[in-house]
Amino acid sequence: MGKGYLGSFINFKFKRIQSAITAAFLFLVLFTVLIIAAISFSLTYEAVEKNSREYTHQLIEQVNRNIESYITSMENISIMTLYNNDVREYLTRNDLSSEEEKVYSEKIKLLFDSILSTRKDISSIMIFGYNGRVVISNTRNITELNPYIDLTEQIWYKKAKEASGAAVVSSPHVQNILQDNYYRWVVSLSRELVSGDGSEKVGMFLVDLNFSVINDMCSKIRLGKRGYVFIVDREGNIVYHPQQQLIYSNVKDEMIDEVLNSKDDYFITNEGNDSRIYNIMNSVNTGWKIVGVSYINELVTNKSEIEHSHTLWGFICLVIATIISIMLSRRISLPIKRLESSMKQVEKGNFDIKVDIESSNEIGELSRAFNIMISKIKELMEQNVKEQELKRKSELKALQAQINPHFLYNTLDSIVWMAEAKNSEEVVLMTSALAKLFRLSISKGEEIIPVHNEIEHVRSYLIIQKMRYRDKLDFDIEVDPEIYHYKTLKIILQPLVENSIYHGIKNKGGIGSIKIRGKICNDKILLQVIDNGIGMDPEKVKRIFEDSGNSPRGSGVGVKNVNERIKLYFGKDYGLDFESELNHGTTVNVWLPIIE
Amino acid sequence: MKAGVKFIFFVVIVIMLLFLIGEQFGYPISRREKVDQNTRIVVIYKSINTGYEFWDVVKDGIAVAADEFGVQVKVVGPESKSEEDVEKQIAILEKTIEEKPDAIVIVAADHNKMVEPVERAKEAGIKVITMDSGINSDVSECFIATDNVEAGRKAADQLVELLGEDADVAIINHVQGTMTAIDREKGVREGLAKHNIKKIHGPYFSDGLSEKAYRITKELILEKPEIKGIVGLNEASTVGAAMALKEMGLSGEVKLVGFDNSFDEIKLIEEGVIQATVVQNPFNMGYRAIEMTVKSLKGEKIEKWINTGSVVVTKENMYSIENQRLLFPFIDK
Repeated sequence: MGKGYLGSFINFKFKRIQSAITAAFLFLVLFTVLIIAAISFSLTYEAVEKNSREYTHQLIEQVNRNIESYITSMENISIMTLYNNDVREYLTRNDLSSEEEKVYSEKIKLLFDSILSTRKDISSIMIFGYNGRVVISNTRNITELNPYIDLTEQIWYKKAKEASGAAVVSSPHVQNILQDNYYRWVVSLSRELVSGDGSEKVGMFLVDLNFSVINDMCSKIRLGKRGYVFIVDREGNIVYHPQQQLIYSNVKDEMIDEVLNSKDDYFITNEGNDSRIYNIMNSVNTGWKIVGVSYINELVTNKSEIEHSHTLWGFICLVIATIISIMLSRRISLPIKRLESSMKQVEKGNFDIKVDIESSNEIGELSRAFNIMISKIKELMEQNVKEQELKRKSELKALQAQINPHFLYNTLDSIVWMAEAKNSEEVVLMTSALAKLFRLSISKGEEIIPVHNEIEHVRSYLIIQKMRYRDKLDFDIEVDPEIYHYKTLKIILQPLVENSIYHGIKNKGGIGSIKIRGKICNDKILLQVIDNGIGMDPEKVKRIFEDSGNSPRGSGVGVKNVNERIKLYFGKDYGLDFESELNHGTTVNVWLPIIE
Repeated sequence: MKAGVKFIFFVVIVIMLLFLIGEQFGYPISRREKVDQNTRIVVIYKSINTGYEFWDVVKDGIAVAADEFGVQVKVVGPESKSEEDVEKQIAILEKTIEEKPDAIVIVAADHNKMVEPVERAKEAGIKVITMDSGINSDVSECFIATDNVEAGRKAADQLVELLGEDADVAIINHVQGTMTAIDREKGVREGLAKHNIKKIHGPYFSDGLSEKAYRITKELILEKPEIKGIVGLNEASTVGAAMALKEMGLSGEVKLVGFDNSFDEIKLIEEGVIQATVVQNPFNMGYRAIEMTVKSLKGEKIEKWINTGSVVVTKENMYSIENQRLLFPFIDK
C-alpha cells in the first residue's frame, strides 16, 4: 500500500453495487458541498470585506474631515489676518512712530492671543513684515526668534512665496524659529500678505497647528488589532505613520508609491496571511492622502472563523450525506441482493423458491420475470425427467421384446431340428441370421443406427421366421439405397414385422407375404411394413395404440412402444400410422426425420 | 482486501482530502500560535527614572511593536536616578522571574554582575533578550543594540572630514569600563587610524558629568592649544566640551563631534559649537527588541546580534524630514 495506493484506488472496481452507489453519492455530495462552501465562503468573505472596507472608509473619512476642519480654521484665521486693517496698517505704513508701532503691535498680538485662547489646537500665530515688523503670539509666551535660524530658508516660507498669496499647508515639522526650550511638532499654514489694494506684498503670515492633534487622532484609531492609519503628502513624504522611524531606517516598508499611484480609493496587497487593504482618501485642503490599512485576515474578523464554520458545516453535511447514502444504497441494493441469493439457491438446484419483492420498479420486474423463468425451468425439468424415464422404459421394453424367450426358444428348437435332420446348410443360415439379429439389436449399445443396419436387422429376423414357417411366409425387401446411410432408431421394424406375422399372417390361410419398403416421401423417411394378412377393421385400427398393451402375447407392446419411442426421439410429427383393410392386409407406415 | 475495508479507506481519504483543502485555505487545524495576546514580555531597564529621552523613545518603539505583534509588554526597572544600580536591577529581575513571563528583555546594568541572575531566568524557562547593554554570557537569544564601534568610526570619519588629516584630536570619554565607552573609543581610534591621524590625546573620562567634561576641556585647550578636534563620546561629555569651547570663544575653531541627542546639543549645533553628533535610533531599538523576542518565542531562527544603527547629524541635515523625527521624537511631554 502506501505509495501505490492511489493508483490502485483509481483502478479500483467496486465489488458491491452498494459500495458503488455510496461512492457515487459521496462524490456527488463532496463535490457539491465543496462548491457550495467555496461559493458561500467567498460571498461571506466578500460581504465582510466590503463591510470592513466601508468601516475603514468611514473612519478615515472622519479623520479627513477633522484635518480639513483644522486646516479650514487655520485658513480662516489667515484670511481674517489678511483683511485685518491693523495688520495692514502695521505692515504697510512706514510713517508710524515707535509709539504707534507699539500700539498696533499690541492690538494685533491681542487679537492673535484671543484666538489662541479659544483654540487649543493652535500653538502660535505670527506675522513677519517685510519692513521688519514682527508679531509673535504663542501659547507659551515666547517672543524671541531663534537667532540661528533664517526664516527665509524655511520651507513654509519659500512655499508661501511661490504661492504668492494663496495659503500653503506644510508637512509636519519642528517649529525651530522660536527661541524655545523645545521644538514642537507643528503643521504650518503660511500665506503671503498683501496691501489693501493688492498691489504690494507686505509680509508673511504663519499659523501653527499642534501636530499632536493629528498624531493623537490617528494613533487612537484602531483598525482591528494590527491595522493603522497613515498620512502622506503630495510628494510621498510621511505626514503621520505609527512606524515612521522604522520606515526611515528601512526596517519596514510602506507602500507609499502604490498609494500615490493608486487610481481607486483602495487596493489590496497580496502578502498571503498578511495581506492588507489600503483605503485611501484625499484631503483637498492639504493635498494629503489619508490611508487606512487593515489586515484582511483579522478585518474579515474572522476569516478563520468563517473558514472554520464552513469547514465544520461542510464536514457535518458530508457525514450526514455518508449516512444517508449508505442507507439509500442499502435500500436499492437489498432487493438485488435478495434476488442474487435466490439465484444462488437456484444454482444449487433448488427450484422451489419464489422471490417476493413487491416493488413496481425494474427490480420488481426483474424478480417477477425471474419467478416466471424459474417456474418454466421447473416445468421443463420435470417434463424432461418424465421423458427420460419414458425413454428408458421403452428402450427396456424394446430390449425385452427383442429377447423374447419364446422366439429364442422356438428358433433354437428349429435349429435343433434342422441339425438332427443333418440339414447343416440351413443350420448355418439360421444360426448366422440369429447372430446377426442379436448383434444388430445391441449395435454397440447405441440407440440411433443407420437405416441400413435396421433393414439388415429386420432381414435377419425375416430369414429366421421364414425358415420356421417355410411355406407359410414369404418376404421381400425393397429399400431405396439412398436412405441407407440416414439414421434411425433401432428396433422399430422388427416389432412391426413380428406383429404382422403373429396377427396378420399366422391366422390366414395360404402364404403370407411381408414387404418392407423404404424411400423418401414428403421430406421424411418412410419405411413401410406391408402384409397381406387378415387386416383390421377401422375400429381396430383406431384402437391399435390403446389395447395392444392388453394383447395376450404382449407383441402389441412392440407397436405402441415403437410409436412412442419415435415420438420421444424425433417429436410428434413422426411415428406410425396404419392403413388396413379387413381380409386384405395391413400397411404400417413408419415416418422418420431425415438425419444424416 | 475486502470491498468493505476498501470503502472505509476511501471515506478516510476523502475526509483527509477535505482537511487538506481546508488547510490550503489557511485554516489552521494543526497549527497553534505560540505567540498570542496572552504572551507576556517584561522589559527591564537600568532605571526608569533617568529622565533621558532616549529611554522614553525606546519605550515608544516597544509600545508600537507590542501593538503590532499583539503581545503584553511591561517596562520595569529600578527607580533610582543612576544607571548603575545593579542590586536593585537584580532584585527586580528575580521578582520578574517569579511572575513567569514568556520572555524578558533586559538592559543590563552591569556587564558581569548580571550574568548569573540572567542565567537563572533562562533556567526558569524564560527567554532572555538583551538590549543596549549586553552581558558577558551566551544565554541571551539576541542582543539588540547600536553598533558602538561603527558609531565611533562614523564620528571619527566626520571629524576627519572637518579637520583634514593632520590634526591633534582629543577624546573625551564617559565612564571607564562600560561597554559603550569601550566600543565607541575603539571605533573612534579605528576611524582615526584609517586616516592616519596619530596625534590622539586622551581618553579623558568625564564620568558622565558635563561639568567634569567642561573642566577637562577647558584645561586641555589651555594646556594643548594644538588640539583642533574633540570627540565627546556621550551626551554629557559632548555638552560639557561644547560649553567650554563656547565660553572660550573657540566655536567652530575647535571642531567638536559628539554623541547622542539632546535639546542642549541641538541648540549647540545650531549655534555652530558642535559640528556633528552621532545619534542612535532608540525607537528602532525598542521595536526590534520586541520583534526579535516574538520571533524567538515563535521558534524562528534569529540573528544573535541586531544593530539598530546610528546616524551622523550636522547643522545642514538636522532638519531633514528623517532627522527631525530622530532628533525630535514625538513624545508626550
